Amino acid sequence: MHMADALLSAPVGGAMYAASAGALGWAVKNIEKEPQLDRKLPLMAMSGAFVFAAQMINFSIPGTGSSGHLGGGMLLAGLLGGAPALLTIAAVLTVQCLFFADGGLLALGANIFNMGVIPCLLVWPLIFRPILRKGATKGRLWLTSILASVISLQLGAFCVVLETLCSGVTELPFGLFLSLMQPIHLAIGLVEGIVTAAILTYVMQTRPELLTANISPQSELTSVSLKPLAIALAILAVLVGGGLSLLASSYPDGLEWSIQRITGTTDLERGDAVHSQAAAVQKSLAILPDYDYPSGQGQGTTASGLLGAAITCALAALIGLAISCLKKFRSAPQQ
Amino acid sequence: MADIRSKINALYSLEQLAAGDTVLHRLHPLGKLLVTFAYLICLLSLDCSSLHRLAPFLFYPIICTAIAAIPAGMILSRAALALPFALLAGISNVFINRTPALRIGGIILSAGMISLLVLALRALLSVSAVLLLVAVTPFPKLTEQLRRLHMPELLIALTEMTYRYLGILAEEGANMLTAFRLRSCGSQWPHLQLFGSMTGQLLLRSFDRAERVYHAIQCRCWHLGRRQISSPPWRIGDWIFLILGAGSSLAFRQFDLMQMIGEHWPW
Repeated sequence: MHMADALLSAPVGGAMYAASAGALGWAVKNIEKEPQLDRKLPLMAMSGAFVFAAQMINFSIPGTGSSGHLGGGMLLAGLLGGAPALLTIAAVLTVQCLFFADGGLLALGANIFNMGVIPCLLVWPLIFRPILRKGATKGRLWLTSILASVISLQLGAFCVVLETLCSGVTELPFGLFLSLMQPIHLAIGLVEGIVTAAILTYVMQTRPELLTANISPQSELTSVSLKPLAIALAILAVLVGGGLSLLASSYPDGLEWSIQRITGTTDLERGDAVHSQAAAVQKSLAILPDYDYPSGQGQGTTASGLLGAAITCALAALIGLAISCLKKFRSAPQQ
Repeated sequence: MADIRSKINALYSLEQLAAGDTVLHRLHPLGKLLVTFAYLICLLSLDCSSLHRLAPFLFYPIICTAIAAIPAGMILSRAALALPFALLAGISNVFINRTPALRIGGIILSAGMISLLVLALRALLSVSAVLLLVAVTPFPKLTEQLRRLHMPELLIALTEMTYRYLGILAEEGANMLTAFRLRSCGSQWPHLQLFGSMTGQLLLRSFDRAERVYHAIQCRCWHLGRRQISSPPWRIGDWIFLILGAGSSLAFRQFDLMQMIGEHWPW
């Protein structure tokens, strides 16, 4: 779920930074009103360290050949409440981005939104807390944890698809991209839900005050206006919607486009039916169906560009080597 | 647990590099932060089909790695972690956009292949730039700079504490695992049924330890709130670094220098 910088364009990265900054600002303002903030801070930091460690463990998803890791947003929200959980996941993502290259610096806003704002400020107050407010029984805790984790991961994955498509870095049609992302995150969400439920159940049995403090009606979201958050989300919706409509206007419908790309203008020869089918399949699977440029456009300019790039790469490597050698020479003991 | 401990050790090893004493280490953190952001924005706003235009962006990581005497393998191996997701998103382009776009000798590259290469290179370069920033700037200096930029104190304190508490969590986890192994007659890992209670127990133990550490810090006069932070002097070298670093990124973004070099090369 951690998005790398390469997957986002600068405008989309900037818009997501703005949205997450708004949500974080609201969370900071909200939590600063808490009388026992000093007591909560070590819990928040340690929960963050715990989620950090949990995200290092990848589990394989049977039958898919892929793996996933916990998002941790719902666990944090269950333990700490929405606003503190958002701040904690933001801290975790910042440390991961800086020290582990897990998620990019420019994509930090998008990652905080997908893995923090959605579970902590949308799913937790709208799904998790209302169900548990009727009474935190073991069964209800399991049901809520699984439901909330699945929904938050599905929404997060959906946002990843939107952000990547708006950035224009993948040519996958929207539907196909969605059909790849959502099912895999359904499986991850189920595992995350089970893990979250198991941990929260233990905490409820041993330290119930930790959980009940967060689901009481007096806590945070009811006492603070949701207006700024709603405005931030509305601005984001307009930005994302505008980006999507631009994308939609410049390309044909995904399915039409794919069909056009695969079949092109080539008429299949009407020979042996088996051979024709085989040729069609072969053509559809070939990475380069026509071994030449279409009407020879743009070869010259690209070739000069590449030559320039090769020279620059060589120059950069030489400079790097020269500096390293010079430093070694200088640091060598003088005879 | 051993895996987590080794990863946490790896995390702190990057911080050890930041204790170096080279020209880059001595620069003002704000300058390094601004240059990194300028580099990322310029790099990531390039078109996905401009493979050759990525070449000049190699200068920054290569030169900085050499000047700061950072092992290039360490940066590259960490940067490679960012590759799988970028490749996952870009691999589809190879199959969808198969228009031939470039011939190098006898090899023809499609537009999809080029965009995949661009994605992979962008991922490597952007991650390297961020890792370099952390490798030449000690974490406390970086967070102090964020305070000077008026980031909320709570968020910065939380980030610092999360980072420091990772070591405590690893210690608690290792202690629990050792205790389990000593009592479990040869079993190395707890059964799946025990997972919830073991993990919950680890969390609660770590909470208690975190509170004790926090009280100890408070006893040493630390408190949450605005603090007086001294600003390091901004020297002429910082101006030069900022102008060269951010200016070159902007120039590489604005002008297709590679095209110009290729066209005017004496061959």
